Amino acid sequence: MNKRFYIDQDLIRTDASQWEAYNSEVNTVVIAGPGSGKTRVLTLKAIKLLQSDIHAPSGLACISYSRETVRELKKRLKEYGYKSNKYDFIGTMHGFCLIHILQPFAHIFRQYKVPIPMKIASLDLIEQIYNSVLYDLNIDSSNLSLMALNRQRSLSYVGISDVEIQVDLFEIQAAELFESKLEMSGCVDFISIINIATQMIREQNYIRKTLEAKFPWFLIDEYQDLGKALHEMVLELQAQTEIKIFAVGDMNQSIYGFNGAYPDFLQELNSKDNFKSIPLTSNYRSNQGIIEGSIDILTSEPPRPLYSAKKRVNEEAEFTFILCKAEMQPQYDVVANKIIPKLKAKGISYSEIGILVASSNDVVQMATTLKDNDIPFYIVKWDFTNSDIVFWLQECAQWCLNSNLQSFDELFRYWQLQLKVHNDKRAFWEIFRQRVFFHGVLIESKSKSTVFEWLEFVLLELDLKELLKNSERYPDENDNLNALLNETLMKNLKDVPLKRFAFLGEPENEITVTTRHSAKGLEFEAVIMLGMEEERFPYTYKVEEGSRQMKEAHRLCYVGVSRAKRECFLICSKKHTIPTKRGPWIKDFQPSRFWHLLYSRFGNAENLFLEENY
Amino acid sequence: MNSPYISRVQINNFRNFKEIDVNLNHKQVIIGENNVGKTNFLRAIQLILDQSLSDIDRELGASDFHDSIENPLENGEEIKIVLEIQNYEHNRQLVAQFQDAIVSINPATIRFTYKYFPLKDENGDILRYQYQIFKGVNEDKFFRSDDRNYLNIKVIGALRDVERELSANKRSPLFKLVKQSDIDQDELDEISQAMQDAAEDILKLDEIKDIKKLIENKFITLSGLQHDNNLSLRPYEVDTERLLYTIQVYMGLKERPVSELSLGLANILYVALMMLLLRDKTVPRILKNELYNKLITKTNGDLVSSNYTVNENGKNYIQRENIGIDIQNQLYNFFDQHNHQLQSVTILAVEEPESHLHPVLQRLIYREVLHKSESSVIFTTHSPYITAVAPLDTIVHCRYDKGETKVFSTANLAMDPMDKTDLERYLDAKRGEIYFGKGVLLVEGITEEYIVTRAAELQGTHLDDIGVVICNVNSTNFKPYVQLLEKLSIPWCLITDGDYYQLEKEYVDGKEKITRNYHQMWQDGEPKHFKGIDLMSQMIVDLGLASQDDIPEDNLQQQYKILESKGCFVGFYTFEIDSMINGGQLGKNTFKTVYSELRPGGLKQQKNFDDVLDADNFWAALTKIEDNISKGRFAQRFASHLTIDFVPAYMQNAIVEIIRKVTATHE
Repeated sequence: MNKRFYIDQDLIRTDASQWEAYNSEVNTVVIAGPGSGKTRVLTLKAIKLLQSDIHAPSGLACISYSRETVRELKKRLKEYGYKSNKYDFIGTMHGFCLIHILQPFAHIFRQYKVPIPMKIASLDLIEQIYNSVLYDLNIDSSNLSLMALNRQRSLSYVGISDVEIQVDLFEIQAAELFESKLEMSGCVDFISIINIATQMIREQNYIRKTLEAKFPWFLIDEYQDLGKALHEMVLELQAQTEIKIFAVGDMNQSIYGFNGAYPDFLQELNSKDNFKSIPLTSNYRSNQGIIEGSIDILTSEPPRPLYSAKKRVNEEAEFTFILCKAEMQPQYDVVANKIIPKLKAKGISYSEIGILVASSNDVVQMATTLKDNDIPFYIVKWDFTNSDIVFWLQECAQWCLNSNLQSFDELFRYWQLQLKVHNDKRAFWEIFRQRVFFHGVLIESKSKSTVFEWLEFVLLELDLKELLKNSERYPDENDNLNALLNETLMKNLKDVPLKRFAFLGEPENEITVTTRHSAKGLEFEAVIMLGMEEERFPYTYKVEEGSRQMKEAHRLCYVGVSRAKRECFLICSKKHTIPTKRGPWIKDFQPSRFWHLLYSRFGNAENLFLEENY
Repeated sequence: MNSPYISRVQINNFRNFKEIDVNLNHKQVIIGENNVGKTNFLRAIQLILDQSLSDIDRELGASDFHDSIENPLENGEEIKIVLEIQNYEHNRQLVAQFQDAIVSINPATIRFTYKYFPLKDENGDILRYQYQIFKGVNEDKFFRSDDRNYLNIKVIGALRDVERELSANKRSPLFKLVKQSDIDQDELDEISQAMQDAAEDILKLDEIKDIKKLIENKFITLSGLQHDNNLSLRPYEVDTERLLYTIQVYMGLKERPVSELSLGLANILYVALMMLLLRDKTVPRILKNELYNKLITKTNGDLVSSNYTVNENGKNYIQRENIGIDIQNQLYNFFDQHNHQLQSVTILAVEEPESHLHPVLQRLIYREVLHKSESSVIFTTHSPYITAVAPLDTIVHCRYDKGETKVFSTANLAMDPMDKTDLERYLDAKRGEIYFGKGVLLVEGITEEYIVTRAAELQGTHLDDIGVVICNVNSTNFKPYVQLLEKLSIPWCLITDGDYYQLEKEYVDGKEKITRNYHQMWQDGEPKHFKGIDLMSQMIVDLGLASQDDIPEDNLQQQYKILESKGCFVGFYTFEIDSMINGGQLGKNTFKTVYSELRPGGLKQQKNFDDVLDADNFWAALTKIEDNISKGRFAQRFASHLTIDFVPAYMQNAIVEIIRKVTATHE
């Protein structure tokens, strides 16, 4: 606990709901609207619990959706003076299942057929199994995508939840087939890890007792994104242990339905008698106009969420609608050439601007245009994955730049672990020799100035690619490292200083370019939303009105708009070229329904432009 | 609630132990002769669990390898010690701390492994030796010093100075006990201030003033013209910490200090304080006001309000006495969850607790500790008084076997409960001497008890000298004794009567009726039946020493042979009859002599005896011995007249065999 903690504690004291959530000592669900300060409440609560209720050898379990959100969480905790220790778990669901359930108990409960040592299926293997499922069922990928199959797999866990998701019997069959083939391969993947771990908790009293002893509290962030198995796990823990659950989420920000993460699970938890439900309805981010606009997009059905601006109380929202003639490039150009200079002229810094596009590919295109215009930018979603190894490399880079930022011991420990896990010869070296070697490589790497040089040197000296060859723990890591190297050699990390890589997760006066999905959790003074054409956003091919998928598209747009503090740009093109078997087809497009929803409330002759006259 | 305990110990290559694997119980009594390795057995456990050992102590060397291993360090040999712990699962802190150590859940078991091993480079060459302690099955999960905060062992050595330990210092268990209770600092400060104030009054005594003056004067004369030589006197500062460790135990009405107690009583006091110190403190006896108020707001907080009452000064809440076991368990769970004090579990090991204690006290105290204490306790002992009262399933027996020490325990003894009670009673009455034999000769009655010793002497060996104990079980129920001896791997033989009988078949109301007629003499050509053989065959089959198929029903010769190979030596009739037959005419004379020495009646009585004996009416002769003298008394006297001719072959063979067994293991 430090000064900052007490300042922020005083801050939430003034918000009755936040204060209630912070002090709640029972199972609690916090339904947190955009900008409601949920992360602050969660991190403050974590610190308070660690200080007063949780004592070694018990620890705190704090689970979030992705490595990125976990990184953010850890950063926030650190700011409050948190020191990491071996008893706490702060990480993703997969990490939790691996470290605290599968690894310690796989050898005791052989009936779950968890591979020892842990063997993770590579993307190739998954692809192979998928193809063999298609073959066995005599169908092709147009009948069943791998994504749909995986969604079905993650929904397949049957526990005590009453949520019923309509499923296709055919998909069930395919999922079961996949599971048995995966089991035969002697591997697990990210879906089976969680399903198996949940089943182990459900069935094994000893595991529950251990979790109860180790973790008196479970803090779960982004509950709506975590899917069915986690939900079942939470229900089991609640029903069968004395563990207390503090879950934070927002049904309205549930946008990972394609993964099987539906808002229904959070809804169910929220309606449970033995959970205290606390809604956070104050918005400390946006003005009331942005709030109302985003809610318009979210739903036309009552009850309409009643969120009120608490920070930007007397501010007007600004909406701008820009129509381009054809294709995406003009949209990128209008952003780079006109919108950004104008925003800058208004005194809005780069870091307060967010550009939201449809896909990773669009991110690259947008970034390229910005680069051509010498506008600094920051990419949330790269071609490479921010894997454990890449995270560690970033931390090594941070240490090289400033040895106070990271603990050498921890970096070394991870390196040592990799040597052991991968049966590397160097694991037999005496510890001091391992340490001297690793230290030497990092010290020497300091002389490398660009990301590429540094990475190339470190990978070569550590012989990391050889180590990861045929890795059972990180089967796809070498491909991922190649993608990273490629990025540093030819793309957006080309010729940039090491600092850029070391602090990849932290924009520094840069414009953020992100997909709509990855925008969650971010906030900007101005949000620029590209590709706002009907049929493209929302995607309408084979999607029924009122369907789950359509509702999710509304939520996705709601998330996008609600990122804005003050203003929001919507851009669409009237024509797009679509490649077909008979050659390119130039198709007419209308502005999106979301555009219309906002335009009907905020639009007028003053804020509707053609690209050329903005 | 019983505390966690060491349920299994495996040792490889360490000191006396080449390879042992032994199951233990919650209470253990380790016995064995001097220098057999009892202390090393504890040392092996200490290498993993003792907090007071340093890293250097844990680092072993070539001399710590078993003697049979030559050049251990050059040959890359390893020392390995494995401990398994059970009955920890009610303790949340241990469950959390030792998640990585788990090896089984039924029953819940955690494992720690100590390894002293060669570190090799990538070419397989030995760089040097090092030790490592790891948890569970994964050698990467190290067992570290903070793990010992949660589970450890405290060994009270054989050579202890309890007087020093008990004297007023920080190591005193009494001081530690007082410290544990977390006394309010303000209250202590107040008391020490009051003491200081009182001490100041000393200075006002005229005598003290006078002394001060004297010193001043003397000082001045010695230091000459030195200025500023004001002297002042003060009683020394009473600091609050010291206040606590000046508390000492005084005993008796006269309040004698420990230094004046007998060593025996001081030992008792010391062990008693240690036991108190180590008890499970999850449920506090006293609650501070502040904590009390916090706890009663928790779920089930009414457990606290209904079982603790405020004391007179309103500052503390005191636990009620006589709380039922149900509530106790609920309280345990409650505090386990809500009161976050580090609860370290300590297993207490006491070497030779009998030191300086009178046998009566030994029995009293150890009966109390072994049967009632909730802490896990390990004793090493030579005292038959302690082993006599030790529950049957708590014995760990260390013994030499061909150059190495083997360890056997009774932890998994599966014995009929009635037999167990009988056996425990026997051990108690006989002071547990059976445990101390290098070999045991089981006999069925008082007669053999007298005769066997003398017979062995006639055969050239004093059984005492080679450590063979004769154990009279006073019946033919040898089974529990054999079971115990087998479990502890103590060599044994047994001598029992043949109890020849005739089978008589008759038909009563058309049904076949079989009667066994004892006390008959066998006549040539008649079939032979022996109750002794029937019983012993049954026993060795029951105990799994042989299978039914090994014992051919119709081959008497073979039956004797099998039984003897298992250690059961069976006679023909009874010892007396067998020796009357063996002894011939000379023997008859000896019997007559002994009878004449002991008979209560006159010459007529003697003549009646002589007559039946001369008529080879041995059963009648025996009846007269029993009726007029008693077999025991007769045997007692008969032993002094014994010559080797009297000793039946089965008894001679048994003696030869037990001697062979004992000497074989002690070469």
